[in-house]
Amino acid sequence: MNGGHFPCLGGTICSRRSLTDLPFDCLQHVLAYLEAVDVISTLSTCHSLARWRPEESIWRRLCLPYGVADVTNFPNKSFYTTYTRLLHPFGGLLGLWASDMPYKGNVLEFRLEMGGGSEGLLGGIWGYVWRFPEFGAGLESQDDSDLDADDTLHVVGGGNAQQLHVALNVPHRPRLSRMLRIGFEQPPPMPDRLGEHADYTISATPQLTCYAPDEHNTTNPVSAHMPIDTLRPHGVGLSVTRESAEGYVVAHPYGTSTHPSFPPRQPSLDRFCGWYDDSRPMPRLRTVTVPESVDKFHGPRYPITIHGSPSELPVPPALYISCSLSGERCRHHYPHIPFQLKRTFPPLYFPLHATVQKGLPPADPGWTPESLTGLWLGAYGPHGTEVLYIECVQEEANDWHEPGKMVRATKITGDVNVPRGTWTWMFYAGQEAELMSDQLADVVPDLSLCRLFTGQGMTSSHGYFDGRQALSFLDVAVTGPNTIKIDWHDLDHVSTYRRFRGPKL
Amino acid sequence: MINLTTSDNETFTVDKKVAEKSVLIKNMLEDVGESDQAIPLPNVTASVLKKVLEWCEHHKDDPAPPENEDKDDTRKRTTDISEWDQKFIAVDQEMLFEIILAANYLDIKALLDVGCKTVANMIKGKTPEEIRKLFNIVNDFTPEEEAQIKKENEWAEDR
Repeated sequence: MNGGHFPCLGGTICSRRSLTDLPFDCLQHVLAYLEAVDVISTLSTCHSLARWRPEESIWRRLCLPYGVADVTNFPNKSFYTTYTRLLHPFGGLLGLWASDMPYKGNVLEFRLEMGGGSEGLLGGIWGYVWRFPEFGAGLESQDDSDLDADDTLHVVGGGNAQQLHVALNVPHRPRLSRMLRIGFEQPPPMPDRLGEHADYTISATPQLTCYAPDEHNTTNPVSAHMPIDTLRPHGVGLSVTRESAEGYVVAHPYGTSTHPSFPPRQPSLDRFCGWYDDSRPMPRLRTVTVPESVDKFHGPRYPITIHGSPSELPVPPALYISCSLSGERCRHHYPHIPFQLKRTFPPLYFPLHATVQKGLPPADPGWTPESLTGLWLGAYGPHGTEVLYIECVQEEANDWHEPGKMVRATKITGDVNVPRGTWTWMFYAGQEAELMSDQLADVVPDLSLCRLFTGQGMTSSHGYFDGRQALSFLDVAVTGPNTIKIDWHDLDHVSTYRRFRGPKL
Repeated sequence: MINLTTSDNETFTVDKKVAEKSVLIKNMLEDVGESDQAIPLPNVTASVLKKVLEWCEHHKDDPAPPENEDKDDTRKRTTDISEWDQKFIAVDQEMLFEIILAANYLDIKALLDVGCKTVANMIKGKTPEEIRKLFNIVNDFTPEEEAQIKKENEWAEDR
């Protein structure tokens, strides 16, 4: 040691110890506490610190939270490139997104694919659309028995008629339908195989490619294994919108109806419905302003049309996906509805909470209504499976009930009767009840193992136009840790609801 | 009691328990066995060792950190520092870096953490120019190099 006197850069002698004097392992220790942007700022100050920029261990540490511990199957094979070009901008996409597509809604899932495997795929981020088996499309052969893991009370077997009845009244798991890929390679031919790119330099800028189905594919299975060559690759842009106030209004023969706002506000609480995940940082993408609707409409009309319109409630920042498919809409983002959609910009996607809570058996004395919180799948008859979010809220007393906990299910995806963004059913958890009808007793062998409540459900005629909604009385049976059965009195059938515990792969 | 001699030939007498916060010293004691001979610490000056021992004294009863701690810790790293440590580390920059170097040499992981977290907290949210000013770093890039770095850093810019 020389008494702390070190040659500083530029050759002068100074006595101050500084950041540049730290050996690499100490410096790395400091960098480990910093966000990527601070790391790169630190390594951009002088030659002496900049020489550590290519040090892979720094970037490996930043890749790890995304689950990337190995970049063998990522083109460039570099943690630096994988982090800075792929994970930093696009990592915030990973997870679920719920769209404000009128009536139907839509759920996207972004996953990180590590690559490799028997197909030798390259690593990258894939976006999928959730699709559910549709009525009449071979439902009988859909095996979702894994959903029933805890539901020993399940179905009484039988012939075909019985099975169809069952298929209509139980929810199915979502299938992942390939939508868009973010990777470093030129897109086609698919699947991209390792080793075929050795002859040219891999671009350091990831390619974004969307694969559009030619038609609304209603045949099953629509899965990740759908042959990629039946899809049309096209360019796609991703950005994040600023807070806006753009919603939808429906013009129909009886007048106009404001479409439910999305994401919905939780009535009585000053916040969005619990599915809206505001803890998840938005992807670091270009920020854009939602275009104001230019489309002005007047009065009732037929056929029914849906227009852009100022929303009653503020619309939080959202993911904006713009496909460049000449003159057409990319079908991934527009599930079929029987009305004409006139809004000029595509549906927006909002971060959807996907944490799966472990359910408690209803017969357990420690059971709480809060244990129901989270994503559920519900059977909506001919509309098929819809995605719900169940949450438990504390309600003030009013004319009808004592103060207490209310369990409310809100639709994330919906249908032309009761659209996304509305609540579908609710019950007061403080009042365990006797059943009003015996329909549930017919399908549930032992009601003594269940928790029973009475509640209300939302029904509507086609279109959910103002004044056309009606409430139905419900018998609610929590029959398992992950299963609820509801007898809709006015619809005269029992529907099953199951906790979402992952898509079908 | 253990005797420690610094690079500037000062000798400190401390409790074994205090000295053994340093894995380096602990290992030395295990290898050599206890003796009256002072342990030489040629990489640490008296003023720094005094400060380091003050930290060791305060933390002597802390539970030992878990061994084999995974270096690839994916949990969110927090830069929270306890109140006592914050006061302890409120020193001038030169002493701060001396403490980090000494903690690294003496292998006192918890103290190294405190030092590195403190430096990280100083850096957070600053531009390269602000970091240079903060740590007295001379910008030795040519304009061409600087332009190239700026281009390469585009991914980190706010959009």
